[in-house]
Amino acid sequence: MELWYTHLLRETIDQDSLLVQGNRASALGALDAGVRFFAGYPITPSSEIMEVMARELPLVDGVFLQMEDEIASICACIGASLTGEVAMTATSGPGFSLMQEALGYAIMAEAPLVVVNVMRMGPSTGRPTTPSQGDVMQARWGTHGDHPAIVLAASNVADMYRLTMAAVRFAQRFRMPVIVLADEIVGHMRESFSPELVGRYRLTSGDFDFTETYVHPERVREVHPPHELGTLLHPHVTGLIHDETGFPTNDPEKSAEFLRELHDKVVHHRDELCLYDVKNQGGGRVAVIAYGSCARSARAALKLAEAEGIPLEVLHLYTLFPLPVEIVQEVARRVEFIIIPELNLGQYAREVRRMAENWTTVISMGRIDGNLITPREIVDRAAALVGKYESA
Amino acid sequence: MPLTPTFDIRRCKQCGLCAHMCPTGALTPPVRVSTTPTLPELEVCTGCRTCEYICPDFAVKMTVCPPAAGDPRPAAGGTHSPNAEPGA
Amino acid sequence: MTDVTEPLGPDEQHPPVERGSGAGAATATEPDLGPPDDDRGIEQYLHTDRFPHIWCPGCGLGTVTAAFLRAALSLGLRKDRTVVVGGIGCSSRAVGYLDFGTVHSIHGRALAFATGIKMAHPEFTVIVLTGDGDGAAIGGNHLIHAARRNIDITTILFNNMIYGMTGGQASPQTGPDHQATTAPFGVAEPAFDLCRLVEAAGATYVARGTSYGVRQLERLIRGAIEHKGFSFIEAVTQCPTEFGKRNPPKSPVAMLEEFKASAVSVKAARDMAPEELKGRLITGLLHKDEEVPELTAGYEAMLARLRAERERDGEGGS
Repeated sequence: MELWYTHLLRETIDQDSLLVQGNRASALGALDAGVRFFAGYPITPSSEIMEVMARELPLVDGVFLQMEDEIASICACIGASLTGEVAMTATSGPGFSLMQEALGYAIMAEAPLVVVNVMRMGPSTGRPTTPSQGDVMQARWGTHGDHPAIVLAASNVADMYRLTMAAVRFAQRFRMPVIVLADEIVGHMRESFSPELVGRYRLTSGDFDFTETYVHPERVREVHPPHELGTLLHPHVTGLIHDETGFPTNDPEKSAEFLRELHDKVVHHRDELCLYDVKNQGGGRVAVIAYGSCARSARAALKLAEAEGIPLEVLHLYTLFPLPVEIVQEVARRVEFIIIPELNLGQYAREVRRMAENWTTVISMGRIDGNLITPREIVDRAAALVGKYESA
Repeated sequence: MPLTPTFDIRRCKQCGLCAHMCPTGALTPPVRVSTTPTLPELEVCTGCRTCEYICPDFAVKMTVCPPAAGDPRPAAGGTHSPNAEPGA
Repeated sequence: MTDVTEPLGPDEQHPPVERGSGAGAATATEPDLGPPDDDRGIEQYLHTDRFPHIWCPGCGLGTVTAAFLRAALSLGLRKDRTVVVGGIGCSSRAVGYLDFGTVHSIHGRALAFATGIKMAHPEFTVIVLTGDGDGAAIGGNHLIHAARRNIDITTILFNNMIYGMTGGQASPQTGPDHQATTAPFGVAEPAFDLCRLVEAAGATYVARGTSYGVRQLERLIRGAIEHKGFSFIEAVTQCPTEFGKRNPPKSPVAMLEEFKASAVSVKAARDMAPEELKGRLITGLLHKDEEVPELTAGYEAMLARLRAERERDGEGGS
């Protein structure tokens, strides 16, 4: 690709699309990251990602396939990724549920792929056009067995672009499926979009510049030797527990070693994988840890809180898993309360509690009526906590 | 020299299909575990390869080297592809 | 085992395979493996250190696999350009013994994996080995859609009329009045006519063989691989351990003799009445159509057309 943001240029030149939809931005991010294979199945609210890929992939000699269901979609993606491509699919809750078995296979077979889950209210058919963050635990543990996960959460249109690119990088680096979660509203909203805006990610956890080399990275050592179909190696790839030859084994020691190494491959690289931003660091006795659409409310809450003299700091998580233990504990040590606003019944609050409860009180602020959590609600909650402390 | 089968003792599971399918009855099926079929009379074998093709265990290889005369238990040997054989 | 935190050495970085790299090198810089050696026979296609295989004595799966390998040898299939995909079950276990690029995927989904592989690399020869449960029960939907797409994949469905690996449960092909662990009083449901199902779904090469008629099977498989389009072969094969145990005759020899007795050629079947054909196995090439567009060829043609349009409009390469 000539310019990594070629698709962005097209967007800004076209006067009608100065505002770009989140879903579209995710597809463009994938294309600019070098994704040339997409297999999918339509589902609200993610179908736009698929439609953009259907239009754009053939224009870059890529492969687009509409498959008969989500299971076929993810399996076709894994097949393609085993030949060395990073493949991508996009879905929502019900489709994500169908994909779980195959995701476990991709982890075992060390297949690089990206799955975007634009989350709608569930369970089951739920409310397809309403935002939710109800798939967080499923993204971590949806497939059976003990396995690692890399899960990112997008909070705006720029994130959809950048995090999808980051997901492609992580998938290539770690040879694993990487899940990008987006609340329905993030997928469907439109925001202004330009290379200047999205080209650099200046985060507390580290900066990225999305240059070409960034998205064709060196691979982390995989658990078993590099295996790509169609090369001289002509490997055997299996979902059975296997040893370094790639063939199945029943040996207890080798089995444990294999699973442990799959975990370590992810967990030992937390410093690279855990993306986050801290706002108003050290500024308060209350911290808000948030992701997705709630993180936007949290950031906006900072302004309100400042005006009202309420001590607040925000930890905006872009990576949900592997758990960003270090930063969460660092924040926990300096605040008395942590509020986790979420569009679910506290799925991530549970994780934060596990990480932080030794140092602080963790409060889950869950909302499951399909409406967003407002900055006002967050500030009021923080105020109440601070008030409680002062009156104690 | 026509082809004759040799049997891999490590792979043969004594199913007896080769002996059953042999059109000339040249093979005697194995009678107990850890044995292979035997070819008591070499002249009866026509080299048709049916035993090789029907064997589910990849245990039969055809060879142009006949076993030593009088030896009822041929050892495993090489194989020739049908493509290399004229008129196959 | 290696420390996963160590970076990869330069010789361990394998660049992705270029799409459409075709009959040339496996990558731009590595030499290819070349065609198989005729003198070494099908043995060269085996992972010999994995033998003896796990299949039961007298099981027909090895026989059918050997027929496939003889067809592969006669076509000169190369190990680095051929990918064999299996699902889960005794039949799908075949892939672990074959020295091609092999994928032991998940239950019922081999064709979906294979579709991704073939679309990403149309120059590979892609074979799917599946069973009657893996391919026609859980995998049924992928089977009919792959057939509908007419994608150039050869599917060999080893039909042993039972779920063997898991201990003898009924499969869609077990058939009325036969017994299985999940049908102790006899199966109540009819079986598919798999060949008619797949033909109706759009497959353009449909054949049936048995583990008895091995020479015919090899020819049918060869024709299937040569055919550019979705090729389907139903290989009826004996499972003496799980099917035979509950449904006499139970010895492998007797089961083969039954296949022989019930088989009837396509030609002879044309002159027989439907009642005469009940319970018979029509063997041979049942359907072939070379006029239907094949998926990868159609897709490549579309890409070429778009490329031409871009060049004409002066946009240059992408």
